[in-house]
Formats: sequence, structure tokens, C-alpha cells
Amino acid sequence: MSKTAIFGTLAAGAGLTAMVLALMGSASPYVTVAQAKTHSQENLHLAGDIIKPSLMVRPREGTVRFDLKDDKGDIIPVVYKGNAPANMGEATRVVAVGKVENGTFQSHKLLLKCPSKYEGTEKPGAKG
Amino acid sequence: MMKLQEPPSWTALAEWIGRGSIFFAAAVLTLAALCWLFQPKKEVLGKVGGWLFLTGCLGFFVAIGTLGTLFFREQFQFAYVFAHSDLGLSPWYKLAAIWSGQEGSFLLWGACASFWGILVAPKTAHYRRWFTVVYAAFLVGLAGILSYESPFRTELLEGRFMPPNGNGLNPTLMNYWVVIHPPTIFFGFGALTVLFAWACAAVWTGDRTSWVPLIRPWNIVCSTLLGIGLVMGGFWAYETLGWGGFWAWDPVENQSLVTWVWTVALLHGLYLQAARAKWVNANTFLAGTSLITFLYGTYLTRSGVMKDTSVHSFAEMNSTALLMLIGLCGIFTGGFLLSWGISVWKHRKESQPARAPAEFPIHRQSAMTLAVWLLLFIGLAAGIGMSVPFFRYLQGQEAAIVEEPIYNRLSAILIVPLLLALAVAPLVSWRGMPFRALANRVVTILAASFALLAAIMAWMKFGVNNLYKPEPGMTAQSILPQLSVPHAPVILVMIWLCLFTACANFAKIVEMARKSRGGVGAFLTHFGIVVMLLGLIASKGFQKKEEALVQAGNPGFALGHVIELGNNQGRNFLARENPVDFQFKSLDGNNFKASPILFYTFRNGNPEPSPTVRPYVINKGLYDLYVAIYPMVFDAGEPVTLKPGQSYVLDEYEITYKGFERKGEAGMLGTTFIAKLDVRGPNGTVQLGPALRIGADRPEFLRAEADTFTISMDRMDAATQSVTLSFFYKNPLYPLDVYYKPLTILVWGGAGIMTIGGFWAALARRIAKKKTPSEPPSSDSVEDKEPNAALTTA
Repeated sequence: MSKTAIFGTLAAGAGLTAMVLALMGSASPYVTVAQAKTHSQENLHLAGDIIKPSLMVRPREGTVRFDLKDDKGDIIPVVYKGNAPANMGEATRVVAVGKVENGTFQSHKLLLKCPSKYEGTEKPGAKG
Repeated sequence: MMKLQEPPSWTALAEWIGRGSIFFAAAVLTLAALCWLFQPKKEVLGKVGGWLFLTGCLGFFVAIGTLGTLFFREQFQFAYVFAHSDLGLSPWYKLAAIWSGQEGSFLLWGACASFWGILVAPKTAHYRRWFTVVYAAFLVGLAGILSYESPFRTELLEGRFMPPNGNGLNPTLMNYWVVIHPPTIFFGFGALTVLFAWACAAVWTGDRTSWVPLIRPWNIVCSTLLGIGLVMGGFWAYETLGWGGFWAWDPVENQSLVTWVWTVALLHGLYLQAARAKWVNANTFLAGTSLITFLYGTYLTRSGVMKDTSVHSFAEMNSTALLMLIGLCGIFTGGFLLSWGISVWKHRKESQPARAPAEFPIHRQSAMTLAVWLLLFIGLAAGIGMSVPFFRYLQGQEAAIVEEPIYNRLSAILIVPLLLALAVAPLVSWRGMPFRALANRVVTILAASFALLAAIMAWMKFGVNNLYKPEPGMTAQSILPQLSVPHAPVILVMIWLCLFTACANFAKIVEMARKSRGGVGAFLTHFGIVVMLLGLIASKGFQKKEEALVQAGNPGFALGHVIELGNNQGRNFLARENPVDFQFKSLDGNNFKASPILFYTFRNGNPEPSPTVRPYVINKGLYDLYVAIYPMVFDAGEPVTLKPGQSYVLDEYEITYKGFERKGEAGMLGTTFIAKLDVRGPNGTVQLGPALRIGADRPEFLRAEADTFTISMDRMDAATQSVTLSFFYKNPLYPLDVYYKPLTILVWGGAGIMTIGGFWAALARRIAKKKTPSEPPSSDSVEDKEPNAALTTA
């Protein structure tokens, strides 16, 4: 093996390792309501169900408010700054991205499930 | 009452043909693989194996044809047809419905792979034996998955009755791109099997040289189709999703990007092997792993492991089909890597034909090698990034995802040197050139790129009515997360880099057009990709977005325009593709109409209508105005509970609650409670009385009407005398996002140029290959011709 090849392999390996570490380290975590209250990070992903009667779309003030119930049953009010995504009304599951401030989850991004060409139908024998 | 019909008798045969053709394909392709495996013992087995391979591949076409027939004949007793189609669907969408779900897209993959198998297998020369064995084995695996992940299931009503209508194609998918994007990209995915099978054949036969001119045209076609497919996906997102962008680094996009990057790296690796006898091991590795990366991505996106961390709603596969997919991934990955490793070890002392060494440090080979490595790193970043949730899942950690800004930052770091390498590579020869000579060649290109940059800056300053002004303090994240840098200069540097690279490649195109037209395709493709990248950077980097609220008689404002609701009388919001008209007016008389789409559908048995929106894009030549609409809003404010004497402010109105009045006996049917309100607005004060009447089954809410809204009394509390009021607009409010997106036209133009360049290059390869079928490659004698052109003169 030539010196160039060895140097190149080492450099590529080092670059790859750095990239893996950087990507793993910079990933934004999915948290529960309880964890969100203790994290200081900006881009927490809080997944849960929208409590439908609490959903308030306020275009004049540019907010969407709702209560979110996580998988452990804890509830937190969420305030999203922006227009309600198109399928907000029909969505039951949401991921709010943001952080907790004064007991409210202040969100700058809402992720709702959008359709995909890979969307499937419930079928017998499905995993999980 | 819904009436259930019995399905026509022919559909039982169709089901049998659909399912049977998959089993048939699996069986016949297994026989084909066995025939070719034992072909050295008996020559005739090769001939028989060839026919069996062709017949097995045709099984996938029969299956997809059958599925198409079921869609066009509206046979809703089939669960897949029911889920993705309905009676009102146009023929084009019925066609698209075939691949709009998980099972159908697997079948499309199988059919596309079969198409390439039929086309390529006879042209694989002495590689045909192992090529066919591997190819057939892969198709058998796909057929196995399709046996369980079948689009021909009739479990719905046990297949004995036919529902009168289907669930319908998801309205968000209903756009012309759904007809052309999936087949295009799946033809590219299908062609990955060609690369994989050929790599295996090259490794197993030990001839890792002769395959180079044979595979290059298919490699170019594959990467071109994947590239076009990726771009089409971006256009689809831009035109339908309403977030004003082309790319979001979602796992589905990343999976396609990684495979495209792999095939492009292979393309350049094969070029280096043909011209410089380099990358021999790397090329077999890249060709083999391109399919493996796709299989891995398929596992991530189809198995359900990403279901909580992606915006796409992925299906969960049938457990047996999933096991088969994992088995296919494992066997193909393990088998290939082991074979490749052994091959590398066996050939470790093999020397390649000597080439004249480079005389200077900057030469085409070094620039190309650097570019390919950087490109691979971008692919790896996307691949690793999308795998982070999976890695954390394997480690038993909480889920986490890599977000768009991280990808953007990382890819920007890699794109800067990549663009420089892409600019330098066409300017230097294989032997290299001194720095001074390179500088002399670069100076004109530098001047041209700076002139173009100045023109763009002048246009942005004076040419678009100051629509774009960098916000004071607007910053971009730099390489270091804590360090922010000014936004506009960063974008301008990136734009200049693109211009510099585009100019360098354009100069090369002009040069090649005189010398060797066959070589124009590659540089045209580079030029197209760089132009497209320029458009993406400018349209995202200098994008400006403002929000507006528009109501009948109550205009909104955004990006220097007054936005009035147009005449939408008679619009049917339950009709598909229902446009909502808005008149945009500006002081300079730049008036126009925008008609984004908003309609409501009832799907999946949901009693609530579900909105579907599509943006409206106004192309103004050098920039787009992109108008995204949101569903109508009737709620005018949160329900408020007021005690007597308390007030609530809604827009320009003040509502004061005076107390409530009862008409009738407490608890009796028809008794009415009236909230006495003073509503003070621009036209003075009026008294209003929303009421709540006790009905037989439930209370009736009698709304009171103010100028622009109505008030409803939701509940009252006799003990505290308080009432809870809700407010509703009489005319709905339309929230809009209006984007200014400069130079988006370059994204479209670049994509077009890239497509032409890709097919030009593939065609040139085919012509060159026909002239020189299997001669050993060399290019020392001809510096600037394409390697295969060089073969003719070597």
C-alpha cells in the first residue's frame, strides 16, 4: 500500500469518525413532558397526542395553542408560533419542537405526519 | 344503507394471476439462477437459463399489469385498491395509485429491476453467468417480499363483497408529479441491481477491467435517472407542500441522495479506472454497495423503525416480509463484502498498466479524486444523519434526530472544496500544470464569475423593488455552532463559488464542443448541477417570507403588496383543486392574481372534513412569488369566561358583559338564558344578546351577530352569574405565507441541463462502446478526450 493510500485512508477514517460523533452529538432528542421540564436545550422534540378540545388556532396573534399528552400520560400546554399546518385539524399525533418556558412548551416547529407514497394500510401480521 | 355487491367472477382469476405471477417469477428465476450456476458443465443450460430469466422477469410485468387492471376496473374488494382509489379518480391518478402505497411501490421496484435485467443481461459478455445468478437471486428475494407484502390481498370483506367505493387516493399526493416522479426514480433504483450484479460478476470472475466500458453507459443512465428523480421529488415538494422549499433532509430524501451519490462516485471512479487504471478495487466496492445502501435505506424507511422520527408516515411491513427484507440486506451485504474482501486480497499484488505520472501536484486525477471523496462524504453525512435514530434505538437510548440546519451546515463545509475541485478538474490535464499556468487559465473565469456576481448583486439591489433586504443582525450558523456569521456575505460567497465552477465548466463545454462532442455530456451535467445548486442556495439564502391574514373586505399585507380576497362566490370547497383567488396590488402597479388551492375531503371514515392545500407559484422570471394558503379560520378568539362588568377585546371591538337574563322557568324545556352584552366598535356601541335555550336533547346555542363576527354563549354559571362566550368570524379568515424566492428559475434550468447532459453522456458512451467493445483502456496519448475515445487511439 502506498503512503498516499495509507494517509488517505487514515484521513478518511478520521473524517468519518468526526462526522459520526458530530452528527450523534448534535442530534435533537425526543423527550417526555417530565424530561422537557428539566432540559435546557432549544430543540427538544416533544411527541404526544393533541387533546382536541384544547386546540385553539389564533391567526391574529400568530399562534396555535393546545394541550399535549405524552406517552406517559403527562400533559403540558403548547404554544406554537406560526400558522397552523394544513392537516392540524385532523392530526391526533404531533411532535412539537422547542423548549419549556414558564411551564409552557414554546414551539417553533410542529411536525405532523404527512402522507407518503410509502404509506401503508393496516394489515394482518404487521410488526409491532 | 350501503349496498355491497358481489365482485365480478373474473376478479378471482385476476387475483390468482396477480399472486401467481409473483410465485411464478420466484420459481422460474430460481431455475434461471441454477441453470446459469451449472452452465459451465453444460453449455445448453446457459441458453435455457437466458429464456427462464426473461420469463421470470416478465412475471413482474404481469403482476403490475394485473394490479393496474384492478385499479382501472375499480375492484375495491382488493384492500390495496380500496385504500388508494375511488370512483372519482381520473385515469392518470388510477395509474399513479398503483405505486402510491407500500406494496405497489415494492412491485414497481421489482418491475423496474426486471426491465433492466431483460435489457442488460444479454449485453454482459463473459460476466453473464454470475450477473444472471445474482440478478435472479435478487429478484427472487423481491418476489418473496411481495408474496407477503402483496397488493392482491382481499381480506377486506373476505373478498366476497365489493364495497361501492374506495377510500380514495390521498389528496396531498394528487399532483402530476405523482404520475412521473416515482416511476422515474424507481427506474433508477431498479438499475442499481445492474451495478450490483455486475460488481459481483467482476469480483467472482476476477476480471475487474473489461467490465468498465460495458457498465459505464448503464451507470450513467442509472445516476441520471436517480438525479432526475431526486430533482422531481424536490419540485413536487415545492409545488405542493407549501413550505417554500425543495429539500428537507428527510430519511426518504436522504436514502435517494445516498444512492445517487454512490452511483455518481462510481461514474467518476470508472472514468479514473479507464483513463488512469486507478480505483479498481473502489469501483467494484462502489458498484456493489450502491444497491446495499438502498436496501439499508429501504429497511430504515419501510420497516417502521423511523415511524416516530420522520414526517413521512411510513407503513409497518408484514413481519414475514420484513424478515425477508432483513435477510436480503444481510445476505447481499455479507456475501458481497466477503467476496470483495477476498478479491482485494487475491489481487493485492496485481499491477495495473503504467500511465505517465503526473508532473505537477495539481492535475485532473487529484481534483477528481478529491471531488469524489467529498461527494461521498456528503452522501455519508446524509446516510449517517438519517441513521442516528436507528443507532440510538440499537443502543437503547431515547430517540433523537439530526435537524435540517445541521445537515445544511455540514454539507456547506463539504460543498465549498467540492465546488473548487469541480472548477479546477476541467482546467487541468492528467499530467497537471504549474500553478502559474493554472492561474493564467483561471483568470478569465474568475473575471467572468465576479462580473456575474456583480450583476446578481446589482439586480438584487435595484431590480426587484427592494423585496429583499437582509434583516439587520441576520446571521448564519458557521462551522462552529457557537459562532454566527453575517448571513448575506456567506450566501454571496457560496453563489460566487457556484458561478466560478459554472464558468469553468462552461469554458470546458465550449472547448470540448470543438474537440470531441462526446465529452460534452459530462461537463454539461456538471454545469447543470452547479446551476441548480446556485438556484437552491440563492432561493433559500435570500428568501424572504411574510405572513398575511386576508378576509372579505379586510385586506392583508405582505412583501409590499396589499392582498384582497378575490371573488370566490360559488366556490365549492368540497371540490378537488378548488382555487381561492387573491388580488395582489402594489404601489408600482405590479398587480396580479394568486389562486392557491384549498379544499376539504372526507377520508378514512373521519366525520370531520380534512383540508388539503397547495401553494400558488408566480414566476416573475428571475424570482418567484410563492403564496401558501392555510385552512380557513372561523374561530375569532378563545372562549372567555366573563363576570358581570368584565370586558374582552377582540380586534377593534370591546365586548362588555352586563349580566344574564332568564326567560322561562328554570329547568323547563324552552327556557332561554340571554347574556346581555355591550359591543363597542368603530361604528359605535350596540347591545347584543347571545342565548342558550334548553332543548329536548341538548341545549341550543343562539348566536348574536356583531359587524364582522358572531358571539355564542357556550355555558353559564348561575352561582357566579358568569358566562362563557365564543367568537366566530362571519367571513372566514385566510392565513397566507408569501415568499419572495430569487433565482428559483435556475433550479429548473439547471435540472434540465443536467438531464440533457446525463443522457448525452450515456449516448456518447454507447456509441464509443460499440466502436471499441473490449479493448484495454488507456488514455495517456489523448489528454482531453473521454477515456473511451482515447481507447480508439491508444
